Amino acid sequence: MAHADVSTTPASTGHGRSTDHKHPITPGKVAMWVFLATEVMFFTGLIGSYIVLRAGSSARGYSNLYAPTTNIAEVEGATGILITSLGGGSAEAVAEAVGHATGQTPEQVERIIAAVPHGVVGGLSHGHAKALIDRLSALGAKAVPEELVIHGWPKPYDHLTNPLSIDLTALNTFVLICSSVTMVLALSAIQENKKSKCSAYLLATVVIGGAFVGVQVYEYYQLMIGHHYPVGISATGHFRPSVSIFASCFFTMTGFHGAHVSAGVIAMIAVFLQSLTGKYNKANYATIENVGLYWHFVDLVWIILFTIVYLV
Amino acid sequence: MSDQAVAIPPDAVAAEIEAESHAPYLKVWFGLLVFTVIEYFYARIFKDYFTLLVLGLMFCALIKAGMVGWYFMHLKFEGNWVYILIAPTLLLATILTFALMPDMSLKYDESEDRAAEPETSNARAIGTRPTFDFMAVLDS
Repeated sequence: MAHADVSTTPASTGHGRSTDHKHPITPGKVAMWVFLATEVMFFTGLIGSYIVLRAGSSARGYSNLYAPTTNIAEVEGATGILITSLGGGSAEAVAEAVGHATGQTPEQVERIIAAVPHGVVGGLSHGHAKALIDRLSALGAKAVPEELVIHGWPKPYDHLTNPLSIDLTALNTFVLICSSVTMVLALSAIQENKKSKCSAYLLATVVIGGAFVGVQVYEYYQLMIGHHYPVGISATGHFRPSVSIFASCFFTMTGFHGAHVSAGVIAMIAVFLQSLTGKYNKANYATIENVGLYWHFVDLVWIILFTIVYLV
Repeated sequence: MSDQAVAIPPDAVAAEIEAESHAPYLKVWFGLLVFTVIEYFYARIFKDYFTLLVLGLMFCALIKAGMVGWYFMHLKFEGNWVYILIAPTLLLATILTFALMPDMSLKYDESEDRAAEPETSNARAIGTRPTFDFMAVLDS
């Protein structure tokens, strides 16, 4: 591989952005920035599509009592109840009471019971709702009236329409930020020819980046299989790409980002293993710098995605 | 990825690399932590005020993204060449966003709800739309 073209003019060593001299430019670094430019367009397209779909979503697309695909106009006069606890009541007795009051199938009732403390029973008249609450109280369960609340898009922190765990993901966001720091410290170390320190920071980046992916896999598992959600989130009780436009958008955006992070972790493992062979030194660190650029970019994208998808 | 053998830098570049390798990364890390915590609590406090929520959170997110780009991606230390690459990209990204604005302002038409929509001959011909619920296999 050709040597980098390093040309200089008189320099300043201040901490402002230097304009009177040039930092080393390598073809690999230019190629990485061109690649990142295409990635900017890719994620801009994704985020733009998300905004289009969200802005164009029906103002009555999501509610606390009915599944996302429900035509609210047909059920607007009805009310519901929220079962917050089975208490001393047996699940079978509560299920029987709910099934008797609503006429729902055993599978539908089973989903309601599985979602407790967010077990939502919709489609009731006010009289039937009160009677069902009384019946459940007699069985030892706790239930409260739940009036219909409609949203154009699932609201953050609303457990009846939005299944996303902001607490877990905020922590995971900070985990990814930490991996960016260890990455840049690895580059800093090799620029000072501290090879062991560089390898240690690269290993830390692999571990922390892997932890981010692990938490995301755990989150996906909980959303799609492990946890049962109320009907306002999904008619099936599981949050999967097909249950709503919100779910499709969520899995598309976080999935593509997760794929980028996974690719970064794999690349980082390769760089880490190469660093153990002593390949890198203060005159030869361009690969670490380029992989680092990619890694910081996926961190930067996640900062935006976390805000748009989870918090807003 | 093939590696680049960087030529031994002259004094000016060496000084720049010295500054880069001693950049205040831990201070930046702490700043990112502070902004993440601010975002977290801001989102909780203003969750019912959509405009305030969007403006405040996007401000924090852009500050954080800027810190990552400026310090970690070394925009602070790079020459103008990198801005020649970034500027057209950001311009195109902005144009793309503006190009989507007509679609963003296109509101859902309630009159097109399935219940209100008369069944057309086309709809009858298409029949039930296929589903793509690949996860259903996990339930079977």
